[in-house]
Amino acid sequence: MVKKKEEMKKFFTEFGMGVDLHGQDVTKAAARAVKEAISWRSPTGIVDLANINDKGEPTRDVLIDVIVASPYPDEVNAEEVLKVIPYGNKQLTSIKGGLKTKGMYLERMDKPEAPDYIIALACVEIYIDLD
Amino acid sequence: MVRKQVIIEIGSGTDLYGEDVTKAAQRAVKNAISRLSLPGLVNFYGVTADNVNEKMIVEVTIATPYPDKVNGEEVLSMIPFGQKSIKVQEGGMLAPSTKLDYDMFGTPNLVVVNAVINVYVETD
Repeated sequence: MVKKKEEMKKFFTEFGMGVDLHGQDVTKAAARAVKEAISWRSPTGIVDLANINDKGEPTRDVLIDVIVASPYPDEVNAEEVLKVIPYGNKQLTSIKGGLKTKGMYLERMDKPEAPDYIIALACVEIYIDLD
Repeated sequence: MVRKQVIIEIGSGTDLYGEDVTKAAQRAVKNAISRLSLPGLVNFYGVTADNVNEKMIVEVTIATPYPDKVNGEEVLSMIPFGQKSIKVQEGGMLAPSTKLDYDMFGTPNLVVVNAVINVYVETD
């Protein structure tokens, strides 16, 4: 049984931004935001804090809490976005935010019903349970 | 005392006019550290406001064209605390810039600089 984040200690928080230019796909933008948040650093300290074994599995509880802000929070597919994160117990909260702005319609690439540019923001928090 | 590695951060910075590698390196460091917060230093490694400058070790590696021109002290001033050190090596990128760059500064290129920052903590 994984503990709630309030009972664990926070290791770090990282931020990212993702854009979907063609297709008005908030899930794609959100996944890119999470990808950016986690791609520019390597939390090497987690190896001994979470006591990761030879198989690469953490032996202490690690919780990865993702908050994604996008213009259509209900349309974000949490499962799809969380695939970006390679391991850990993951959870996602989708809130309203980010940005939607008038895009460009290209017949070759776009759906006519989806002409807008979508920008999503992501905050990824890592919690570890030391007990 | 055992030195434990906490995180590696990666960043990239540019200077579009004037081929100022120090400025580009400062931006690369800023880029590496700006979208990250490390409460884990306090929660797991016993770092406090009083001992942060002894316990936290920050090693910066910069890859840039013209490595000799980098002012290490100015680059390290971007990092707020910790025992800081810098290593500069040949790398990064020179790419053709605008005519304006050449007319105003006499430099034909823009510079791109990479930074990698290793953060360690001394634990008992």
